[in-house]
This record gives sequence, structure tokens and C-alpha cells, in this order.
Amino acid sequence: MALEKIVFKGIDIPGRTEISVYEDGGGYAQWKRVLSEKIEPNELIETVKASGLRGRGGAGFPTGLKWSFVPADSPKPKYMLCNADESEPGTFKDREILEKDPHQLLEGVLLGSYAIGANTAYIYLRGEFVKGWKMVERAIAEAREAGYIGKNVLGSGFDIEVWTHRGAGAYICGEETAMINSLEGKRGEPRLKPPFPAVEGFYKCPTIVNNVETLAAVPKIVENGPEWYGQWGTEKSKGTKLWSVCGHVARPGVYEVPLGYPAQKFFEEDLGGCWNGNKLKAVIPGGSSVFAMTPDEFFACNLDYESIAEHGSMLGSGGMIIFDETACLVEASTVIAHFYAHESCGQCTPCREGCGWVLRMFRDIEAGQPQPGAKDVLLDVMDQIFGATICPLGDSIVMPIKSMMEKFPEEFEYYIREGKSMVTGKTRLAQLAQPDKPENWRRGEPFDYPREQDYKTSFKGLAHDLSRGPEPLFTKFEDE
Amino acid sequence: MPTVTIDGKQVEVPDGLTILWAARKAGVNIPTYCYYPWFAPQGNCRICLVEVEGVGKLQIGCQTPVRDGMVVHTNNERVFKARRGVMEFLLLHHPLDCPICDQAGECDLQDYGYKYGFPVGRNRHLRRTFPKTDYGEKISKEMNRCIHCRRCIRLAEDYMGVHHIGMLNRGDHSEIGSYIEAAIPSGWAGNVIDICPVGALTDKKMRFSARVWDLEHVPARLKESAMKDPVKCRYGSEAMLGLYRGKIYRVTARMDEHRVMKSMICDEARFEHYDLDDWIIEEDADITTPVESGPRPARELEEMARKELEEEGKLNGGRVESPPPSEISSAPGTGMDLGRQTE
Repeated sequence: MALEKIVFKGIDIPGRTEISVYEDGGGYAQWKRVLSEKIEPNELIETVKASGLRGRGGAGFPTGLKWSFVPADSPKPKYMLCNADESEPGTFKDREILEKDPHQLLEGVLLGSYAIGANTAYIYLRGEFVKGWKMVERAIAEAREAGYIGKNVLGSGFDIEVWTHRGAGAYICGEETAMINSLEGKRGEPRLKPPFPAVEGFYKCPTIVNNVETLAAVPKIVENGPEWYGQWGTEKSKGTKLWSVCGHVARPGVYEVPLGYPAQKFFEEDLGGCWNGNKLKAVIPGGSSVFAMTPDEFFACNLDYESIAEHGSMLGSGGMIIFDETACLVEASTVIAHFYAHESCGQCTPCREGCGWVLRMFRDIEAGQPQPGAKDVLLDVMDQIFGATICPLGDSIVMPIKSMMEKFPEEFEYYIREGKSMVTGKTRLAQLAQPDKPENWRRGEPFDYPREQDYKTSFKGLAHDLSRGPEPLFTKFEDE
Repeated sequence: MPTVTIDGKQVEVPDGLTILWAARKAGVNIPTYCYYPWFAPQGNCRICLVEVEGVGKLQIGCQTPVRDGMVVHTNNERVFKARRGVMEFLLLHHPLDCPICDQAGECDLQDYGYKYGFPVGRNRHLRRTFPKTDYGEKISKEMNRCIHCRRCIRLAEDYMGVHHIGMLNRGDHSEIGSYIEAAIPSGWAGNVIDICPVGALTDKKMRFSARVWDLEHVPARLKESAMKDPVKCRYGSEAMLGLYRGKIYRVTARMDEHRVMKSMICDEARFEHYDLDDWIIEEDADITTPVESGPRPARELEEMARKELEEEGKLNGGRVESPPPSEISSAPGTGMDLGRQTE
């Protein structure tokens, strides 16, 4: 089966951002066909469902199934939201589509809106994507002029308006409910689920949030049918996926390959291996918020949702970060921790307090202060964050750092013990270590963490005693 | 009626009830901070995590509705470790100044800190601190003690109808405050003191003058003759007096045993009447039945009172005789230090 591009098919055609060039390549033909033949929205949903297209933003939820959750008989207006708030470190696939092929995305947005019966669509762009935003704005203006957007589109009786909204620089607004809050004008903070946005989302109306890459694939699926799309990929992960590859690699960039493509082949033939012929050390396959993989795990897997999960990581958003042997993973962990501590929204406790704490501990390690016990405390703190938060941002700091600490323990132990990197032999933040300034360390105590046996012991029988049974409604304190 | 098993006890509860209330019906307490029966659950403190059999992640008790046949554990090692973790995070930057804190003795953080907290601290860094800013002249705000439960924000928005307090900044330096440190422009602003589960918002009048365990709490109601602003006080004076040696040290709203306010009291009742002659003692008031839903918002209470007072002819010419809010609570803040934002 020939390697065919689906999402990136027209991306290299010169002038593709203009509507005339896009229409010459068969653009908006599906939108016209759907409207002129008055295809039932349900039929469109069934087509996407049968194609096996899954959400490309990270979670991999089947797109057609998501669309079918919108209650058709709801009296409320429905909304289509396109999530172009691509802020994950290592992920830059959507930017290419926004800047180089905005019309294909727009057609996907229109088809998706038609399928779920939405008359208003928003494209929520990352604030830093100035060029992408200009391109999308221009595409919308051109499409409006051509009569593809507006009231009574092409005489079909269907109204559709598309608006763009630029974020203000918060990573958390890429989470769908936080994005809805941000669009409504509130603080960008995730909501509790359920209710899911498909039932109660934007202004408590049924809302579908889809990634750019997902929507950009929709026109091709509608054009060629689900069987055509299903010929690529594996049984459960169909179609192609964009991989944005960065790090210590010979040929970084955005690649479109079918799902199920062997990782070793991808790495060695398409990416050309690590740069300067160095040895591969670790890979984070799905943007910075998934588990890191060792080379053995990575080469054993195929690039699809199931196979990567089987080998201990997640496909995520497809932002592959490559570390070669010259990379110090302790320093990489600090960078990752800094990102999540900076981007934590501050809503729920474990993420708000935990991410900052993890970062401060890593900064101490990098400052070269010997601190026995730091590794245990770090792992323990990350366990307390994992799974206890409202949205997956709390999990996102834990997954890459904890997996690196577990898979490359000697590097972390060396840095904590020796105060310098095992790889580079240097102390990165040596200027932060000021042992002569006791106010930097609490009361100038010797820098150590309590061991587990210190806090396992019961404190006057009040706490830590599960055998006392569940907590009674009102504790009566007796005089002792 | 679904039947759920909570820590081995089977209870039959009405449909749609949350795990928290089902557990309370079974006689099991689930600790809460951000949950308050007056508001929709927000789920941001994460102390009420419980284990539900068959569900991978721990679930929050305050929001998860019960299903028939649900088996819930609130007292196993996994739940305990999660709560201990949340307690550790909440106490990470807490100043632990209980000896000088007015909330000590009725503080949720103290109670659950003893039950679930670490006996040793593992934080080896300087604590995050905020400059002290107050809400006007009556309400002291100590942001260092705050646990970000946001009850005060929701109270102001949902019940006082003012949008003047909110979250500033992001992540672990996020802060609850009013922009440029203004007071809360409402005649009911003092209720944020009662709704605060910790010592972040306290009564400036009572500050450092008494300890709550010394006070004798007596339900009382303001005499009509003593009211300066009957529009607010008619439905806003069902209060609880904190007495010590026959002297009023503080006035709070009446609370049930979960320390949930029965109703709001207005700022006049809270801050202006420290003379026992102004009050009618109501010894038989019900202060044990748990509160399950919120009262009417302040605006509705005021409208009701105004209508009744008009009918009784107690308002002058139908005009509201209400002192301007600045006299009661919205005196300007302790200083508009605009340079603080760029610190």
C-alpha cells in the first residue's frame, strides 16, 4: 500500500492558502455536495463513525461516536468548537495546517457543524499563532465571500457562522472544558465531568470540541468514503497520523504516516536516526505529557494507539521528543516540571501545590545540593498528584518525569548524590546554590528529608490508624 | 431507591444523592473543604476522594451521584494516602500559626490536619507568602492561610450578587482577592468570615480578643427597635452570639453541626451591635438539623423585607431608609498599593 498523505495532501502546493487554489484541488466540493444533495446529518456521522477516525488531540476518542452524543432533539443551539490551542511542548502539527492549509480545516469545521446541526462554530487558536490566526481569518473571509459561510448557504437553508478566538497564552485552555470556560469569558479552568460538553458545554448547550487534525481529515473521509480511509492503519487505529518530531534527531519536522507504522522504520529511515550518529537514549512519543520510553520499548512498538499503550506509553498528540545520549534527563525533567508548574491553573489542590513543589525540588537537585532522600520524596509527591486532579494536567507532570525516574534511575541518583550531571558532568544551576545564605534553606538545617518510618508511626493514636474504622459523623473528644 | 454500601454499611438513599450525603446517612463523615450545601459542587479541594469499586480513579464524594449497588470505601489505605497527600499539599505553604489564629478551635484545616496530616513536614523550602491585604475595615484577610476553596467567591457571586472578589494569577501563586484591594460592596459582606473554613477571613472586631473555645454560643435575634437598617436586618439577624463573661465578643451566623451556615446575617447585625440589650435570646432555636440547600440570596431577602415594611408602614414614605454601604462595610481598603502587582 502506497504511502499516501491525507491531511497533508495539498500542504506543499504553492498558494494553497488561497481559496482559488484550494478549489482547483477539489476544495469545498464536499461541502457543496453535502448541501446540494441534502445529505442527512446522520449519514455524515455514520460515515465518520465507520471510518474509525479518532480524536487526534490526545485522548483518541472516536470522533463519529462523539458527534452522535449530541442530543438531536435538544431545543438549545448547538456549537462546534475547533481546538487549535496547541500548546503542548513538542507538538507543532496543527500549526502547519493552520498556516499552510486553512481551507481544508475550514471545510472540516463546516462539515462537522452540519453533521451535529450547529449553526455557530468557533476556532479557538493559541494566542501565539499570529500567522495561523491571520491565515484562518483570511480563509474565513474568502469562504464567506464565496458564499460557503453565512445565512442560507448556497440556497440550502442551512446557516453557519465561523468565528476565531485567540487564547491568552494558557496551556490549560487546550483542555476542552477549560476552553469552553475561556470562550465564555471565564477563567480558563476545567469543569467537572459529567456532564460532558456534548450534552452541556458552551453556555450549557450541546457542544463538540475537535482537534484541528481531526477536522482536517473529515473532508477527505466524506470525499472518498470510510472504506478508503480505513485501508490505512490497524484494525482499531485507522487512517494516518501527523507526527511532529523534535529533539536530537537528524531530520526533525512534521511527518504524516499511517497508524501502525513500525517505530523503528520510522526512526531510522524517515527521521534518519539521532543527529551526528549519536545513540538514542529515550523517546517521549506523544507530546511532553506521556510516559517516556526506552529505545527497546520504542523500537518494539508500532505507531498506533494500542501498540504504544502496550509498550508503556501513550500516543497522545503525536509530538515526539527524541533524547540522545548527550541529553541529561534530570535537566529535561526540570524543564518539563517548570512548564507544568507555570501552566497549572490553580484550581485543584494536588496540581496547584504539587507541580510547584516538584519544580522546586528539581531546582535544588540541579543546584548541586546533596540531599539524600529527595528521590523517594519526589516519587511520593508525584504519586499523590497522579489521578487526584480534575483534569489530566496533574497526571501530565507525573507521567514523563516519573517514567524517566523509573527507567533511568542511575542518572537521577547520581545527580542527587554527586551534585552534578552524569552525562555532562556539570551542575546546571550552580549559581542557585548559596550554602552561605542560610535563609535559602529553612533555618540552615542540614538538608535532608524525613524517611518513611518517621511518618508511619502513629501520632498519639489520632491519625494513621485505619483500624479505628471510618470517621464518625461528629467526633466527641473525651477528656483524657 | 438505590442501595449503596459504604464501608460495609448498607443504606438506602434517594436517587441522585451524592456519595457524601449517602455516607452522612450511613453515619460516616467524609471530610470536605470546598463543598458547601449552598453551592453546586466544584470539586477543587480533593479532600473528599473516596474509592468506588469498579472505577479506576478515586472519585470525589461531593459530586459523584450514587448508583444502585455501588460499593464505596472511605477508610482504606488508598483513600487515606490520597487524603494525606491532599492535606500535605494544603499545609505546604500554610503558616501553621494556630496559636495566634482566631479560627483555631473551629478550623477544618486543624481538624483534618490532625486526622490525615503528616506528623512531620517534608517541605524544605521557604513558604510562599502574600502581602496582607484586607477587605475593608471589618474583614481581615490573611491570604497565607487560604486553601483556595473559593467558597467566599461563590458566596459573593451567588448570594450577595457582587463580583468583586475572584482569583488572581495562576498556579501555586494564585491568590484570592479583590482588584486593587477594594472592600466587598455589599451589606452582607461579613458572611465570608463564616463561610471560610480556615482562618483566612476573620472578624477584625474579634481579633486577638478571645478564643472560640472560651465563648458561650447563644442563638439570638436583633430587636426591631435596635435595627438601623431594617431592610437588611429583618431577615438578616438570626445570629449566634459569642459570649464570654456576659459580654459579646463576636456575632456569627447560626451553624449546624457540620459548620454550615443556616442563613446569612447582615453586616449591621454582625459588626454594630455589641450590647446584649439589643438582642433577644432564642434558646430553643434549631441548630442541629443539617443544612442541605442554600437560603434565598440577599437581594430577595431585602426585597421581601422592604415589601413587608412598606405594608406595615415602617418605611418613611415608602422610601428605603438605608445607610449608604460605605458606612457599613465598604470603607476603602487598607491602601491601594498598585505597585504590588509588579513585585
